[in-house]
Amino acid sequence: MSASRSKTGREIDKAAALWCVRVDGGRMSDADARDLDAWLEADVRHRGAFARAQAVMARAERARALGAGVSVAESPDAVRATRRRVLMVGGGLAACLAGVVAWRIEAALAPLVLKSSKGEVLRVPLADGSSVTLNTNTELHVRYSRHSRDLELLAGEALFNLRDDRARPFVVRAGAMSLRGGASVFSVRNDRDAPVCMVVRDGTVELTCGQRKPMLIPANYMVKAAATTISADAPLESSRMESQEIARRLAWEDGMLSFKGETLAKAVDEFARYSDTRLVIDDPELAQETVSGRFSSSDPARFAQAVAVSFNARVIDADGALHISR
Amino acid sequence: MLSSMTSQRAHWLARHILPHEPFLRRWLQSRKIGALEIDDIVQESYALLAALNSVEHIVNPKSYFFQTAKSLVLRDLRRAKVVSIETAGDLDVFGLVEQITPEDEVSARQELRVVADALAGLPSRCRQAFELRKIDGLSHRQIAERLGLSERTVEKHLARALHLLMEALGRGGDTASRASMRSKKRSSHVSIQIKDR
Repeated sequence: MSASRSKTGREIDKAAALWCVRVDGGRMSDADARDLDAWLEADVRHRGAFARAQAVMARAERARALGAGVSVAESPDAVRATRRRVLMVGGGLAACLAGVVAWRIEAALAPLVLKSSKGEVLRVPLADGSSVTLNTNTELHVRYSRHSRDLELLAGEALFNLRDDRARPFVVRAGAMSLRGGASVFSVRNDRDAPVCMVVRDGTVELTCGQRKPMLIPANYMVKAAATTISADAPLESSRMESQEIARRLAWEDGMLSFKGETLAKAVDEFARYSDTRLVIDDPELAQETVSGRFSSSDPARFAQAVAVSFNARVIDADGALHISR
Repeated sequence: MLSSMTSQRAHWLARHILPHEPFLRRWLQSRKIGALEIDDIVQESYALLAALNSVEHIVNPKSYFFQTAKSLVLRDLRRAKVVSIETAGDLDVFGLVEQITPEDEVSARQELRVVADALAGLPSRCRQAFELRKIDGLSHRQIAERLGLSERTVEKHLARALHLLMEALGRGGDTASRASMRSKKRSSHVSIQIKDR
């Protein structure tokens, strides 16, 4: 171990990573190549770090099967593209959007009904500058008046991004839960046969549930009714989450599903919410394997393929479903 | 040219050596070898493995990797002349290396999962650039165009991504947080911590 003793392993790793990226990019000039050789010649640790960087690079290549990059692979600018798609779904929605934007706040007798179909993610700007994003299969009723902003989530899941307006409280009802927010971002999920669940991403939301006293739910908390039907005394479950975990749970906003150690069985159930292409896992043992990564919610076939590759399984298209089996 | 390690060798290292690196580091740590020395030993071990004419004779890569590291430790100890009693006593334990069996091979599946997790933990710009390069196979220039960045910035993002992956994959979880990777702890259940009004 000779020269540049003062350099730490990490500094060397950093330099090695940059060289490795340059070589991989294939745009090394002769002078660059000479510089690299000189650098490698200078210290055996440089040679080792460079080999190691190349090994890490090679290993990342091997991992592509797991679909860790499906998000970007699908579209270069996933977020923007999804928004675009969201804003351009069919003529019906366009009309509906125009209706919302041009909608007069006053004297709305009938609620505005927002609906998304299976696999659809709808982002709807509301007249006051707030916005709501509907996940798949969702129905939301919006009623704005001079004194109130009342929304009711009848089914599905929605993300609310609220503009504060002291004069007009914003209230979302879902099952027995009633949520009141100022400037805040939160999601609510109200599925049939499942307890209502809400997650606060930003700000604070006031939760009223049955006969309970109102509670303030801060950002990064999830609250879930413990049972499908809620009585005044039914317990609520709350848990704190890392903001990354929240981002993961709300990946649907960008048309993605993000898994982190979920079982395949659970992942397949998630896909079923978004697509009519059925995924079936024939092998119960395989169903208990876990998956991580981001996948396009509208492309279960690609997910199936990724699963097959990483678990040594096969995908068979039969009886109108994709069977994954070993 | 020194930089011309074959891509087969890079893949061999990726498949057979890299997955064992966290174990080697932990093992060296348990031998009371300092962090800086460990970095040196690991890097030098890779250098030796990369420089081998052939790896076909290596039946048990993990064992070979540990042996290589061991020989470097011993060389350093001899150089240092003063060998502390503690370290010298531990030298016997090096004999254990031979007992490492091929069952220690990390399964391909586990390996993929580790990489996917590491990728998911990268800062989003870095990850995007890295995925466009490694998954979509775009050139640096194409990535620059797609992301609206200069090629130089793309290169920086890629290098940062690779460096963070080196930290995450090679060093294992322990230093991951220092490398600003996503924390392992995700959500912890607490009883209602919400203020009643």
